[in-house]
Amino acid sequence: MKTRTNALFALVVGLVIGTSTSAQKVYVLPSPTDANSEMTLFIDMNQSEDGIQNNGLSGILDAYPDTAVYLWTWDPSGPAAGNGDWDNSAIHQELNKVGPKLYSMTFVPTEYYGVDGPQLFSRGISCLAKLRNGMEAEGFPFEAKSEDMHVDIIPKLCDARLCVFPELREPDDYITITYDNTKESLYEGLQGMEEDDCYIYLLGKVDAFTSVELSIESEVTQNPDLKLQSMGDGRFRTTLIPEDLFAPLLAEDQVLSEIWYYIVREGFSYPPGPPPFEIISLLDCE
Amino acid sequence: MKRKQHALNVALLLVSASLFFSGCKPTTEGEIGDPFDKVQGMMGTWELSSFTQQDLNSPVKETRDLSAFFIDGVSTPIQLTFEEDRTYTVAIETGKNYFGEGGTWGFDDDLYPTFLELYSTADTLSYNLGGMVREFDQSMRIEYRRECGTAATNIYTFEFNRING
Repeated sequence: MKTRTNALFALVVGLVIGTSTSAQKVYVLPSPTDANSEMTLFIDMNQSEDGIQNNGLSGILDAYPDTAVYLWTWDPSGPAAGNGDWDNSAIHQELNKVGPKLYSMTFVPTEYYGVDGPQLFSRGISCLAKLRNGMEAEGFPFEAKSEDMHVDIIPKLCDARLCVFPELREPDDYITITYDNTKESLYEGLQGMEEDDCYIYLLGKVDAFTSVELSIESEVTQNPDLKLQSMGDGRFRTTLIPEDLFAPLLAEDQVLSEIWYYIVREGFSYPPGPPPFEIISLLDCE
Repeated sequence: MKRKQHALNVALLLVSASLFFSGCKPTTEGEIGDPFDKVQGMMGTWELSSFTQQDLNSPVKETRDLSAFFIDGVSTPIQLTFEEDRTYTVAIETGKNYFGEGGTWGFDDDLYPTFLELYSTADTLSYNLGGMVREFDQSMRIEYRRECGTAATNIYTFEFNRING
């Protein structure tokens, strides 16, 4: 009787585990994800089913388990360096084999796709796995590819040097920028800020050729609107509505598309070269 | 065999008990009464007590308190007054005005309101009601839900206290 109960329990546990993993053809780690940090995309071909979309990669991999497999992706956009051609994938798209029919690729999503965080989080990742030549392979009935796959990307709560709230924003939204001075490792002259030390340089971009600045860098510390409030523990914060802040500088038909910014401290100068801009993209919902 | 008979007896007992108790539902006595008049509930003057922004794309739906943009301890916070003749006025000394210059007000449905609608000469504004407001309620919540295409982005929540009415 005890043996039968144990067997029943094992069956239930097995079913639960099987159900919870069955949908995971593609997933990312870590999740929640920081759009600007390394992330690994996994494709589990054990979960793939041949014949759904004229796809036959799973069967090919059963017969030839060591064949090289490539990533083909189109959301949140095509890769910045391209997918290559369907019959000749780009070499940088080759996936690592990390287990039986399990493949991965590690990249920084904003760099790999050439998109910003809001685009990544609103669109997710759509992709498939394929052989270098994705056409029908000799002796197999379907194309040498998997079915289309999609994974939503959950944004990670920011704990970086600079954080922006909220994730998706329009020019007339309240936007909060938080700077954690204790994480300042890039510039020694910015380290150890006192309560009244932290300012921000802001540049409003209308398009690639049009931008407006609230104050030139040398006058930023004279503009109280550009001072960040100390939150204690080395953290500083400012909240602003871009559309309102830049309104006096914009023509009526001009709409902000991005805010470019960097941290300023009186007496500190960045090394020669372009300033270290951070970019806040603004949604155009019209 | 004996064990099987025992299990059957227990099952029969449970079924009988559920049938017995389902027949014991108490009958309603008295009248339910008229529904609360939501228009009467809105009438009076309301003063802002808090203002928050919720990020709908944050994994924990993070909320930030932005009350300081409207409540500075010196100026009178924004006040909305709703009159019986369906006109409304806005008194604002500090903060961004999300409620227009005043005009007329209404609900999408007076009996079961979901939206508060504010009509002025310049604009028509429509905000979600955070809950039903009855005559004796002392607080009211108005939500400004923002979307971009199909993506919900932020919710701005205005909490008001009734100061007369």
